[in-house]
Amino acid sequence: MPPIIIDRLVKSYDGKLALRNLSFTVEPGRVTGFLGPNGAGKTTTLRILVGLVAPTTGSATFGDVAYADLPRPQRTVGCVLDATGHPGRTGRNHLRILAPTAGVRDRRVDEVIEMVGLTEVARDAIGSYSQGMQQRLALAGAILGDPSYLILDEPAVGLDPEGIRWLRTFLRDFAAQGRTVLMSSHVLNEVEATVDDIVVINRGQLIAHTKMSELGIGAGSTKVRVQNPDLALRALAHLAAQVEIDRDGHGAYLRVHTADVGAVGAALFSAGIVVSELVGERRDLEREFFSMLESSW
Amino acid sequence: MSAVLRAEVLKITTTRLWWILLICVFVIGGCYATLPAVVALLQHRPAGSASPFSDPGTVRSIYNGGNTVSRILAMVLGIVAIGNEYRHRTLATGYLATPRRSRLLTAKAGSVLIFGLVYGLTSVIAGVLVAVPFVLARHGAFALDQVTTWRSLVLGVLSVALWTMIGMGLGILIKNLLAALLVGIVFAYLVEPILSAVCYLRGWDAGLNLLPTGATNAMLSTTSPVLFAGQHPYPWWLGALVLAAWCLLPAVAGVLSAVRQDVE
Repeated sequence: MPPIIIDRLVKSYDGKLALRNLSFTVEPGRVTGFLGPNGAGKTTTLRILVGLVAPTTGSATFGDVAYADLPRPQRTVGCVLDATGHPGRTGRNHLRILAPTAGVRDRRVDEVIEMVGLTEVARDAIGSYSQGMQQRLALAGAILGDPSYLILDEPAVGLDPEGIRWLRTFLRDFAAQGRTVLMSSHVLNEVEATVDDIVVINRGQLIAHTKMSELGIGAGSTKVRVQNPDLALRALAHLAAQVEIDRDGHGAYLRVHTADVGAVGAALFSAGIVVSELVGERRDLEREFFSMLESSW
Repeated sequence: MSAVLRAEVLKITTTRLWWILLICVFVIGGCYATLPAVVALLQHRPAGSASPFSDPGTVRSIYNGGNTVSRILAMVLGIVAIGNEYRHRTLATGYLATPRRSRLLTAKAGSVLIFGLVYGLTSVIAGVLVAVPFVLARHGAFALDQVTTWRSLVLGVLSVALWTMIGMGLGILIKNLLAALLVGIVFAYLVEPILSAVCYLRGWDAGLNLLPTGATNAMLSTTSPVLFAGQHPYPWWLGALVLAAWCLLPAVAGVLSAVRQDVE
Protein backbone atom coordinates (compact mmCIF):
# COMPACT_ATOMS: atom_id res chain seq x y z
CA MET A 1 0.00 0.00 0.00
CA PRO A 2 1.51 3.34 -1.03
CA PRO A 3 2.00 6.15 1.51
CA ILE A 4 -0.03 9.34 1.74
CA ILE A 5 2.05 12.07 0.14
CA ILE A 6 1.54 15.69 1.06
CA ASP A 7 3.61 17.62 -1.44
CA ARG A 8 4.40 21.33 -1.17
CA LEU A 9 0.86 22.32 -0.22
CA VAL A 10 0.04 25.99 -0.27
CA LYS A 11 -3.43 27.28 0.55
CA SER A 12 -4.31 30.93 0.72
CA TYR A 13 -7.65 32.28 1.86
CA ASP A 14 -8.10 35.84 0.58
CA GLY A 15 -4.36 36.38 0.49
CA LYS A 16 -3.82 34.89 3.97
CA LEU A 17 -1.65 31.80 3.91
CA ALA A 18 -3.18 28.86 5.78
CA LEU A 19 -0.59 26.39 4.48
CA ARG A 20 2.94 27.39 3.53
CA ASN A 21 4.70 24.80 1.43
CA LEU A 22 3.75 21.87 3.64
CA SER A 23 5.25 18.48 2.76
CA PHE A 24 5.29 15.15 4.59
CA THR A 25 4.49 11.50 3.99
CA VAL A 26 2.38 9.13 6.04
CA GLU A 27 3.64 5.57 6.08
CA PRO A 28 1.40 2.51 5.83
CA GLY A 29 1.12 0.12 8.76
CA ARG A 30 1.45 2.96 11.23
CA VAL A 31 -0.74 5.36 13.13
CA THR A 32 0.38 8.91 12.44
CA GLY A 33 -0.65 11.72 14.76
CA PHE A 34 -1.10 15.06 13.04
CA LEU A 35 -0.55 17.67 15.69
CA GLY A 36 -0.68 21.39 16.00
CA PRO A 37 -2.50 24.12 17.87
CA ASN A 38 -5.90 25.30 16.68
CA GLY A 39 -5.58 27.19 13.41
CA ALA A 40 -2.31 25.49 12.49
CA GLY A 41 -3.79 24.14 9.26
CA LYS A 42 -4.56 20.53 10.22
CA THR A 43 -8.17 20.52 9.09
CA THR A 44 -7.32 22.39 5.89
CA THR A 45 -4.65 19.81 5.07
CA LEU A 46 -7.00 16.87 5.68
CA ARG A 47 -9.77 18.49 3.63
CA ILE A 48 -7.41 19.08 0.74
CA LEU A 49 -6.31 15.44 0.99
CA VAL A 50 -9.89 14.22 0.50
CA GLY A 51 -10.78 16.75 -2.18
CA LEU A 52 -13.18 18.95 -0.21
CA VAL A 53 -10.90 21.96 -0.43
CA ALA A 54 -8.80 22.87 -3.45
CA PRO A 55 -5.14 23.70 -2.74
CA THR A 56 -3.71 26.92 -4.15
CA THR A 57 -0.65 24.95 -5.26
CA GLY A 58 0.85 21.57 -4.43
CA SER A 59 -0.83 18.21 -4.11
CA ALA A 60 -2.00 15.64 -1.60
CA THR A 61 -2.30 12.07 -2.87
CA PHE A 62 -2.62 8.42 -1.92
CA GLY A 63 0.49 7.12 -3.63
CA ASP A 64 0.17 9.13 -6.80
CA VAL A 65 -3.63 9.08 -6.98
CA ALA A 66 -5.69 12.06 -5.87
CA TYR A 67 -8.83 11.33 -3.84
CA ALA A 68 -11.12 12.54 -6.61
CA ASP A 69 -9.54 10.05 -9.02
CA LEU A 70 -10.11 7.00 -6.81
CA PRO A 71 -12.67 4.79 -8.59
CA ARG A 72 -14.67 4.03 -5.45
CA PRO A 73 -13.21 6.27 -2.78
CA GLN A 74 -15.11 4.75 0.16
CA ARG A 75 -13.43 1.39 -0.55
CA THR A 76 -9.97 2.96 -0.31
CA VAL A 77 -10.27 5.83 2.16
CA GLY A 78 -12.47 6.20 5.22
CA CYS A 79 -12.96 9.67 6.69
CA VAL A 80 -14.14 10.90 10.05
CA LEU A 81 -14.63 14.63 9.64
CA ASP A 82 -16.80 16.91 11.72
CA ALA A 83 -20.46 16.40 10.84
CA THR A 84 -22.48 13.21 11.13
CA GLY A 85 -25.88 13.48 9.52
CA HIS A 86 -29.42 14.77 9.57
CA PRO A 87 -30.57 14.65 13.22
CA GLY A 88 -33.99 13.28 12.20
CA ARG A 89 -32.49 10.22 10.56
CA THR A 90 -31.68 7.00 12.39
CA GLY A 91 -28.07 5.97 12.71
CA ARG A 92 -28.76 2.89 10.63
CA ASN A 93 -30.40 4.89 7.84
CA HIS A 94 -27.46 7.29 7.85
CA LEU A 95 -25.21 4.34 7.06
CA ARG A 96 -27.67 2.84 4.56
CA ILE A 97 -27.33 6.08 2.57
CA LEU A 98 -23.57 5.57 2.44
CA ALA A 99 -23.92 1.93 1.42
CA PRO A 100 -24.86 2.16 -2.31
CA THR A 101 -21.83 4.24 -3.30
CA ALA A 102 -19.56 2.12 -1.10
CA GLY A 103 -20.89 -0.88 -2.98
CA VAL A 104 -21.96 -2.76 0.16
CA ARG A 105 -25.24 -4.25 1.30
CA ASP A 106 -27.31 -3.56 4.39
CA ARG A 107 -25.77 -6.64 6.05
CA ARG A 108 -22.42 -4.83 6.12
CA VAL A 109 -24.21 -1.81 7.63
CA ASP A 110 -25.37 -3.93 10.56
CA GLU A 111 -21.88 -5.41 10.81
CA VAL A 112 -20.14 -2.04 11.25
CA ILE A 113 -22.87 -0.92 13.68
CA GLU A 114 -21.98 -3.97 15.75
CA MET A 115 -18.25 -3.23 15.44
CA VAL A 116 -18.62 0.27 16.88
CA GLY A 117 -21.08 -0.88 19.53
CA LEU A 118 -24.16 1.04 18.42
CA THR A 119 -26.50 -1.91 17.82
CA GLU A 120 -28.89 -0.93 20.60
CA VAL A 121 -29.38 2.62 19.35
CA ALA A 122 -29.10 1.91 15.60
CA ARG A 123 -32.77 2.66 15.04
CA ASP A 124 -32.84 5.85 17.12
CA ALA A 125 -32.60 9.32 15.60
CA ILE A 126 -29.06 10.70 15.38
CA GLY A 127 -30.34 13.81 17.15
CA SER A 128 -30.68 11.74 20.33
CA TYR A 129 -27.05 10.51 20.19
CA SER A 130 -24.35 11.75 22.55
CA GLN A 131 -21.25 13.25 20.98
CA GLY A 132 -19.39 10.02 21.65
CA MET A 133 -22.08 7.99 19.89
CA GLN A 134 -21.96 10.36 16.94
CA GLN A 135 -18.19 9.83 16.74
CA ARG A 136 -18.73 6.07 16.74
CA LEU A 137 -21.34 6.44 14.00
CA ALA A 138 -18.95 8.57 11.95
CA LEU A 139 -16.29 5.88 12.38
CA ALA A 140 -18.79 3.20 11.33
CA GLY A 141 -19.43 5.21 8.16
CA ALA A 142 -15.71 5.53 7.53
CA ILE A 143 -15.02 1.79 7.74
CA LEU A 144 -18.17 0.77 5.84
CA GLY A 145 -16.26 0.18 2.60
CA ASP A 146 -13.40 -1.63 4.40
CA PRO A 147 -10.84 1.02 3.39
CA SER A 148 -7.04 0.87 3.46
CA TYR A 149 -6.65 4.40 4.76
CA LEU A 150 -8.36 6.11 7.68
CA ILE A 151 -8.36 9.89 7.93
CA LEU A 152 -9.66 11.23 11.22
CA ASP A 153 -10.05 14.87 12.23
CA GLU A 154 -10.03 15.18 16.01
CA PRO A 155 -11.65 11.78 16.59
CA ALA A 156 -11.17 11.88 20.35
CA VAL A 157 -13.33 14.97 20.82
CA GLY A 158 -16.45 14.05 22.78
CA LEU A 159 -15.32 10.53 23.62
CA ASP A 160 -15.33 9.45 27.25
CA PRO A 161 -12.19 7.72 28.63
CA GLU A 162 -13.67 4.32 27.80
CA GLY A 163 -14.41 5.49 24.27
CA ILE A 164 -10.87 6.79 23.87
CA ARG A 165 -9.45 3.44 24.98
CA TRP A 166 -11.75 1.68 22.53
CA LEU A 167 -10.71 4.02 19.68
CA ARG A 168 -7.04 3.48 20.53
CA THR A 169 -7.40 -0.31 20.31
CA PHE A 170 -9.38 0.00 17.11
CA LEU A 171 -6.81 2.22 15.39
CA ARG A 172 -3.86 0.11 16.58
CA ASP A 173 -5.53 -3.03 15.17
CA PHE A 174 -6.32 -1.24 11.94
CA ALA A 175 -2.70 -0.19 11.46
CA ALA A 176 -1.43 -3.61 12.51
CA GLN A 177 -3.13 -5.01 9.40
CA GLY A 178 -0.76 -2.92 7.30
CA ARG A 179 -3.24 -0.10 6.80
CA THR A 180 -2.67 3.60 7.23
CA VAL A 181 -4.11 5.90 9.89
CA LEU A 182 -3.73 9.67 9.87
CA MET A 183 -5.42 11.38 12.79
CA SER A 184 -5.29 15.00 13.78
CA SER A 185 -5.49 16.03 17.38
CA HIS A 186 -4.70 18.70 19.87
CA VAL A 187 -5.48 16.35 22.76
CA LEU A 188 -1.87 15.32 23.06
CA ASN A 189 -2.04 12.83 25.88
CA GLU A 190 -4.64 10.85 23.97
CA VAL A 191 -2.38 10.66 20.91
CA GLU A 192 0.67 9.70 22.93
CA ALA A 193 -0.48 6.15 23.57
CA THR A 194 -1.95 5.61 20.11
CA VAL A 195 0.46 6.88 17.49
CA ASP A 196 3.68 5.55 16.01
CA ASP A 197 4.69 8.71 14.18
CA ILE A 198 3.95 12.33 14.77
CA VAL A 199 3.79 15.23 12.36
CA VAL A 200 3.68 18.60 14.06
CA ILE A 201 2.67 21.71 12.15
CA ASN A 202 2.18 25.28 13.16
CA ARG A 203 0.98 28.23 11.12
CA GLY A 204 0.83 26.06 8.03
CA GLN A 205 4.45 24.90 8.26
CA LEU A 206 6.03 21.60 9.20
CA ILE A 207 7.68 21.83 12.63
CA ALA A 208 8.63 18.21 13.18
CA HIS A 209 8.12 14.78 11.70
CA THR A 210 9.43 12.02 13.87
CA LYS A 211 8.85 8.55 15.22
CA MET A 212 7.44 8.33 18.72
CA SER A 213 10.30 6.04 19.72
CA GLU A 214 12.83 8.67 18.71
CA LEU A 215 11.19 11.22 20.95
CA GLY A 216 12.36 9.15 23.89
CA ILE A 217 9.01 9.28 25.60
CA GLY A 218 9.26 7.76 29.03
CA ALA A 219 13.09 7.79 29.00
CA GLY A 220 13.02 10.68 31.37
CA SER A 221 15.71 12.01 33.68
CA THR A 222 16.42 12.31 37.37
CA LYS A 223 16.98 15.55 39.18
CA VAL A 224 19.49 15.43 42.04
CA ARG A 225 20.43 18.14 44.52
CA VAL A 226 23.46 17.63 46.73
CA GLN A 227 25.93 19.73 48.71
CA ASN A 228 28.80 19.13 46.31
CA PRO A 229 27.75 18.54 42.69
CA ASP A 230 31.26 17.69 41.48
CA LEU A 231 31.52 14.82 43.97
CA ALA A 232 28.14 13.44 42.89
CA LEU A 233 29.08 13.82 39.22
CA ARG A 234 31.86 11.25 39.69
CA ALA A 235 29.65 8.90 41.66
CA LEU A 236 26.98 8.88 38.93
CA ALA A 237 29.23 8.77 35.86
CA HIS A 238 28.63 5.04 35.33
CA LEU A 239 24.82 5.40 35.32
CA ALA A 240 24.19 7.63 32.34
CA ALA A 241 26.03 8.81 29.29
CA GLN A 242 24.98 12.31 30.14
CA VAL A 243 24.99 14.03 33.47
CA GLU A 244 24.79 17.79 33.46
CA ILE A 245 24.83 20.53 36.01
CA ASP A 246 21.96 22.97 35.91
CA ARG A 247 20.80 25.81 38.11
CA ASP A 248 17.46 26.97 39.39
CA GLY A 249 16.29 29.41 42.09
CA HIS A 250 17.67 27.13 44.83
CA GLY A 251 21.14 26.84 43.34
CA ALA A 252 22.90 24.14 41.32
CA TYR A 253 21.54 20.64 40.74
CA LEU A 254 22.36 17.62 38.58
CA ARG A 255 20.26 16.21 35.78
CA VAL A 256 21.00 12.54 35.19
CA HIS A 257 19.65 11.19 31.95
CA THR A 258 18.12 8.03 33.30
CA ALA A 259 14.62 7.30 34.46
CA ASP A 260 15.91 4.86 37.09
CA VAL A 261 15.60 7.04 40.19
CA GLY A 262 16.32 4.12 42.53
CA ALA A 263 19.70 3.40 40.92
CA VAL A 264 20.70 7.07 41.28
CA GLY A 265 19.73 7.05 44.94
CA ALA A 266 21.67 3.80 45.57
CA ALA A 267 24.80 5.12 43.83
CA LEU A 268 24.75 8.31 45.91
CA PHE A 269 24.19 6.33 49.09
CA SER A 270 27.10 3.99 48.47
CA ALA A 271 29.32 7.00 47.75
CA GLY A 272 28.26 8.42 51.12
CA ILE A 273 26.75 11.59 49.62
CA VAL A 274 23.96 13.41 51.47
CA VAL A 275 21.00 14.04 49.15
CA SER A 276 18.65 16.96 49.66
CA GLU A 277 16.45 16.41 46.62
CA LEU A 278 15.86 13.41 44.35
CA VAL A 279 13.09 13.62 41.75
CA GLY A 280 12.22 11.55 38.69
CA GLU A 281 11.35 13.72 35.70
CA ARG A 282 9.33 11.96 33.02
CA ARG A 283 9.42 13.57 29.61
CA ASP A 284 6.03 13.57 28.00
CA LEU A 285 4.60 14.45 24.63
CA GLU A 286 2.91 17.52 25.99
CA ARG A 287 6.29 18.99 26.87
CA GLU A 288 7.93 17.80 23.65
CA PHE A 289 5.11 19.34 21.70
CA PHE A 290 5.40 22.71 23.33
CA SER A 291 9.15 22.78 23.12
CA MET A 292 8.86 22.09 19.41
CA LEU A 293 6.34 24.87 18.98
CA GLU A 294 8.43 27.27 21.04
CA SER A 295 11.57 26.61 19.05
CA SER A 296 9.58 27.30 15.87
CA TRP A 297 8.57 30.76 17.01
CA MET B 1 -30.89 3.07 -10.65
CA SER B 2 -27.31 4.22 -10.18
CA ALA B 3 -25.75 4.00 -6.73
CA VAL B 4 -25.58 7.78 -6.30
CA LEU B 5 -29.22 8.22 -7.26
CA ARG B 6 -30.23 5.40 -4.89
CA ALA B 7 -28.36 7.13 -2.07
CA GLU B 8 -30.05 10.45 -2.86
CA VAL B 9 -33.52 8.90 -2.95
CA LEU B 10 -32.78 7.25 0.41
CA LYS B 11 -31.82 10.66 1.81
CA ILE B 12 -35.34 11.88 1.02
CA THR B 13 -37.24 8.80 2.14
CA THR B 14 -35.40 8.55 5.47
CA THR B 15 -36.71 11.91 6.66
CA ARG B 16 -40.32 12.93 7.20
CA LEU B 17 -40.63 15.99 5.03
CA TRP B 18 -41.50 14.27 1.75
CA TRP B 19 -44.72 12.66 2.89
CA ILE B 20 -45.81 15.70 4.90
CA LEU B 21 -45.46 17.69 1.67
CA LEU B 22 -47.24 14.92 -0.24
CA ILE B 23 -50.28 15.17 2.05
CA CYS B 24 -50.20 18.96 1.67
CA VAL B 25 -50.12 18.61 -2.13
CA PHE B 26 -53.20 16.41 -2.05
CA VAL B 27 -55.23 18.37 0.50
CA ILE B 28 -54.24 21.96 -0.27
CA GLY B 29 -53.95 21.21 -3.99
CA GLY B 30 -57.50 19.83 -3.90
CA CYS B 31 -58.74 22.96 -2.12
CA TYR B 32 -57.06 25.17 -4.73
CA ALA B 33 -58.68 23.15 -7.50
CA THR B 34 -62.13 24.10 -6.24
CA LEU B 35 -61.35 27.80 -6.85
CA PRO B 36 -61.58 27.79 -10.65
CA ALA B 37 -64.68 25.56 -10.32
CA VAL B 38 -66.44 27.95 -7.93
CA VAL B 39 -65.46 30.99 -10.00
CA ALA B 40 -66.88 29.31 -13.11
CA LEU B 41 -70.15 28.73 -11.23
CA LEU B 42 -70.34 32.34 -10.09
CA GLN B 43 -69.57 33.88 -13.45
CA HIS B 44 -72.60 35.64 -14.86
CA ARG B 45 -74.12 33.73 -17.77
CA PRO B 46 -77.20 34.40 -19.86
CA ALA B 47 -80.07 32.02 -19.07
CA GLY B 48 -80.16 28.91 -21.18
CA SER B 49 -76.45 28.98 -22.01
CA ALA B 50 -74.36 25.84 -21.83
CA SER B 51 -72.99 24.41 -18.58
CA PRO B 52 -70.01 26.39 -17.20
CA PHE B 53 -68.16 23.08 -17.28
CA SER B 54 -68.67 22.45 -20.93
CA ASP B 55 -65.74 24.74 -21.70
CA PRO B 56 -62.64 22.50 -21.87
CA GLY B 57 -60.31 25.32 -20.78
CA THR B 58 -62.29 25.74 -17.56
CA VAL B 59 -62.32 22.02 -16.83
CA ARG B 60 -58.57 21.86 -17.46
CA SER B 61 -58.16 24.75 -15.00
CA ILE B 62 -59.81 22.59 -12.34
CA TYR B 63 -57.67 19.57 -13.21
CA ASN B 64 -54.57 21.72 -12.78
CA GLY B 65 -56.06 23.99 -10.11
CA GLY B 66 -53.69 22.60 -7.50
CA ASN B 67 -50.69 23.56 -9.63
CA THR B 68 -50.18 27.01 -8.09
CA VAL B 69 -49.69 25.56 -4.61
CA SER B 70 -48.28 22.13 -5.51
CA ARG B 71 -45.41 23.71 -7.41
CA ILE B 72 -44.49 25.77 -4.34
CA LEU B 73 -44.48 22.62 -2.20
CA ALA B 74 -42.33 20.94 -4.85
CA MET B 75 -39.99 23.93 -4.72
CA VAL B 76 -39.82 23.58 -0.92
CA LEU B 77 -38.71 19.96 -1.33
CA GLY B 78 -35.96 21.08 -3.71
CA ILE B 79 -34.77 23.82 -1.35
CA VAL B 80 -34.77 21.55 1.69
CA ALA B 81 -33.07 18.65 -0.11
CA ILE B 82 -29.96 20.75 -0.65
CA GLY B 83 -30.47 23.27 2.18
CA ASN B 84 -30.48 20.55 4.82
CA GLU B 85 -27.09 19.38 3.57
CA TYR B 86 -25.67 22.85 4.13
CA ARG B 87 -27.51 23.23 7.43
CA HIS B 88 -26.27 19.97 8.91
CA ARG B 89 -22.95 20.22 7.04
CA THR B 90 -23.49 16.84 5.44
CA LEU B 91 -22.63 17.84 1.89
CA ALA B 92 -19.02 16.86 2.62
CA THR B 93 -20.13 13.28 3.31
CA GLY B 94 -21.82 13.18 -0.09
CA TYR B 95 -18.78 14.59 -1.85
CA LEU B 96 -16.55 12.04 -0.09
CA ALA B 97 -18.67 9.24 -1.52
CA THR B 98 -18.96 10.89 -4.93
CA PRO B 99 -16.02 13.23 -5.51
CA ARG B 100 -17.33 14.19 -8.97
CA ARG B 101 -19.56 16.87 -7.56
CA SER B 102 -21.54 17.43 -10.73
CA ARG B 103 -22.50 13.74 -10.60
CA LEU B 104 -23.66 13.99 -7.02
CA LEU B 105 -25.67 17.15 -7.67
CA THR B 106 -27.17 15.70 -10.84
CA ALA B 107 -28.23 12.66 -8.84
CA LYS B 108 -29.73 14.93 -6.22
CA ALA B 109 -31.59 16.82 -8.94
CA GLY B 110 -32.80 13.47 -10.27
CA SER B 111 -34.02 12.36 -6.86
CA VAL B 112 -36.03 15.53 -6.19
CA LEU B 113 -37.40 15.39 -9.76
CA ILE B 114 -38.72 11.89 -9.04
CA PHE B 115 -40.54 13.19 -5.98
CA GLY B 116 -41.63 16.25 -7.97
CA LEU B 117 -43.29 13.90 -10.46
CA VAL B 118 -45.05 12.14 -7.60
CA TYR B 119 -46.28 15.49 -6.29
CA GLY B 120 -47.37 16.56 -9.78
CA LEU B 121 -49.29 13.33 -10.25
CA THR B 122 -50.90 13.70 -6.82
CA SER B 123 -51.84 17.30 -7.57
CA VAL B 124 -53.46 16.38 -10.89
CA ILE B 125 -55.31 13.43 -9.33
CA ALA B 126 -56.65 15.72 -6.61
CA GLY B 127 -57.74 18.20 -9.33
CA VAL B 128 -59.52 15.51 -11.32
CA LEU B 129 -61.26 14.24 -8.17
CA VAL B 130 -62.46 17.77 -7.43
CA ALA B 131 -63.66 18.27 -11.01
CA VAL B 132 -65.83 15.14 -11.03
CA PRO B 133 -68.71 16.36 -8.79
CA PHE B 134 -68.81 19.81 -10.43
CA VAL B 135 -68.91 18.45 -13.97
CA LEU B 136 -71.49 15.79 -13.12
CA ALA B 137 -73.75 18.15 -11.16
CA ARG B 138 -73.82 20.79 -13.92
CA HIS B 139 -73.88 18.37 -16.84
CA GLY B 140 -70.53 19.53 -18.15
CA ALA B 141 -67.95 17.56 -20.10
CA PHE B 142 -64.70 16.07 -18.86
CA ALA B 143 -63.04 16.96 -22.17
CA LEU B 144 -61.08 13.73 -22.00
CA ASP B 145 -61.73 13.18 -25.70
CA GLN B 146 -59.38 16.05 -26.46
CA VAL B 147 -55.65 15.62 -26.96
CA THR B 148 -55.16 19.07 -25.42
CA THR B 149 -56.65 17.85 -22.13
CA TRP B 150 -54.40 14.84 -21.91
CA ARG B 151 -51.42 16.97 -22.82
CA SER B 152 -52.50 19.40 -20.13
CA LEU B 153 -52.65 16.61 -17.55
CA VAL B 154 -49.24 15.23 -18.45
CA LEU B 155 -47.63 18.67 -18.63
CA GLY B 156 -49.37 19.53 -15.36
CA VAL B 157 -47.45 16.70 -13.70
CA LEU B 158 -44.20 17.77 -15.38
CA SER B 159 -44.60 21.46 -14.52
CA VAL B 160 -44.90 20.70 -10.81
CA ALA B 161 -41.85 18.46 -11.02
CA LEU B 162 -39.87 21.22 -12.78
CA TRP B 163 -40.39 23.52 -9.82
CA THR B 164 -38.21 21.27 -7.65
CA MET B 165 -35.35 22.53 -9.82
CA ILE B 166 -36.01 26.19 -8.94
CA GLY B 167 -35.84 24.99 -5.34
CA MET B 168 -32.56 23.18 -5.80
CA GLY B 169 -31.02 26.17 -7.55
CA LEU B 170 -32.16 28.51 -4.79
CA GLY B 171 -30.96 26.08 -2.14
CA ILE B 172 -27.47 25.95 -3.60
CA LEU B 173 -27.19 29.67 -4.29
CA ILE B 174 -28.60 30.73 -0.89
CA LYS B 175 -26.82 28.46 1.57
CA ASN B 176 -28.91 29.44 4.57
CA LEU B 177 -31.90 27.09 4.54
CA LEU B 178 -34.38 29.51 6.13
CA ALA B 179 -33.29 32.39 3.91
CA ALA B 180 -33.64 30.20 0.82
CA LEU B 181 -37.13 29.10 1.90
CA LEU B 182 -38.11 32.69 2.61
CA VAL B 183 -36.84 33.99 -0.72
CA GLY B 184 -38.44 31.09 -2.60
CA ILE B 185 -41.83 31.32 -0.95
CA VAL B 186 -42.02 35.12 -1.03
CA PHE B 187 -41.15 35.06 -4.73
CA ALA B 188 -43.47 32.20 -5.67
CA TYR B 189 -46.35 33.15 -3.39
CA LEU B 190 -46.25 36.95 -3.43
CA VAL B 191 -43.96 38.62 -5.94
CA GLU B 192 -44.66 36.44 -8.94
CA PRO B 193 -48.47 36.29 -8.48
CA ILE B 194 -48.62 40.07 -7.94
CA LEU B 195 -46.58 40.68 -11.10
CA SER B 196 -48.81 38.21 -12.92
CA ALA B 197 -51.94 39.89 -11.58
CA VAL B 198 -50.71 43.31 -12.69
CA CYS B 199 -49.85 42.00 -16.15
CA TYR B 200 -53.19 40.20 -16.30
CA LEU B 201 -55.23 43.25 -15.29
CA ARG B 202 -53.30 45.57 -17.60
CA GLY B 203 -53.49 43.06 -20.43
CA TRP B 204 -49.69 42.92 -20.78
CA ASP B 205 -49.64 39.52 -22.39
CA ALA B 206 -45.94 39.61 -23.27
CA GLY B 207 -44.98 40.10 -19.62
CA LEU B 208 -47.52 37.55 -18.48
CA ASN B 209 -46.26 34.92 -20.89
CA LEU B 210 -42.71 35.33 -19.65
CA LEU B 211 -43.59 34.86 -15.97
CA PRO B 212 -43.82 31.32 -14.54
CA THR B 213 -47.59 31.57 -13.93
CA GLY B 214 -48.34 32.69 -17.48
CA ALA B 215 -45.90 30.20 -18.96
CA THR B 216 -47.57 27.45 -16.92
CA ASN B 217 -51.04 28.50 -18.12
CA ALA B 218 -49.85 28.52 -21.72
CA MET B 219 -48.23 25.13 -21.24
CA LEU B 220 -51.34 23.63 -19.61
CA SER B 221 -53.91 25.33 -21.89
CA THR B 222 -55.81 26.54 -18.83
CA THR B 223 -58.07 29.59 -19.20
CA SER B 224 -59.44 30.32 -15.74
CA PRO B 225 -59.17 33.98 -14.63
CA VAL B 226 -58.26 32.65 -11.16
CA LEU B 227 -55.03 31.39 -12.68
CA PHE B 228 -54.43 34.75 -14.45
CA ALA B 229 -54.65 33.13 -17.84
CA GLY B 230 -53.97 35.79 -20.47
CA GLN B 231 -55.82 36.43 -23.72
CA HIS B 232 -52.90 35.64 -25.99
CA PRO B 233 -50.91 32.81 -24.41
CA TYR B 234 -47.83 31.34 -26.03
CA PRO B 235 -48.24 27.99 -27.77
CA TRP B 236 -47.94 25.22 -25.17
CA TRP B 237 -44.42 24.24 -26.16
CA LEU B 238 -43.11 27.80 -25.90
CA GLY B 239 -44.76 28.08 -22.48
CA ALA B 240 -43.01 24.86 -21.48
CA LEU B 241 -39.67 26.27 -22.67
CA VAL B 242 -40.15 29.49 -20.68
CA LEU B 243 -40.99 27.53 -17.54
CA ALA B 244 -38.06 25.19 -18.10
CA ALA B 245 -35.76 28.21 -18.36
CA TRP B 246 -37.11 29.60 -15.07
CA CYS B 247 -36.56 26.28 -13.35
CA LEU B 248 -33.30 25.14 -14.85
CA LEU B 249 -31.31 28.39 -14.89
CA PRO B 250 -31.03 28.68 -11.08
CA ALA B 251 -30.26 24.97 -10.82
CA VAL B 252 -27.51 25.12 -13.42
CA ALA B 253 -26.07 28.30 -11.89
CA GLY B 254 -26.14 26.64 -8.48
CA VAL B 255 -24.41 23.47 -9.64
CA LEU B 256 -21.73 25.43 -11.49
CA SER B 257 -20.94 27.46 -8.37
CA ALA B 258 -21.03 24.46 -6.00
CA VAL B 259 -18.64 22.41 -8.11
CA ARG B 260 -15.87 24.96 -7.56
CA GLN B 261 -16.41 25.87 -3.94
CA ASP B 262 -14.40 24.68 -0.96
CA VAL B 263 -16.57 22.73 1.46
CA GLU B 264 -16.46 24.00 5.03
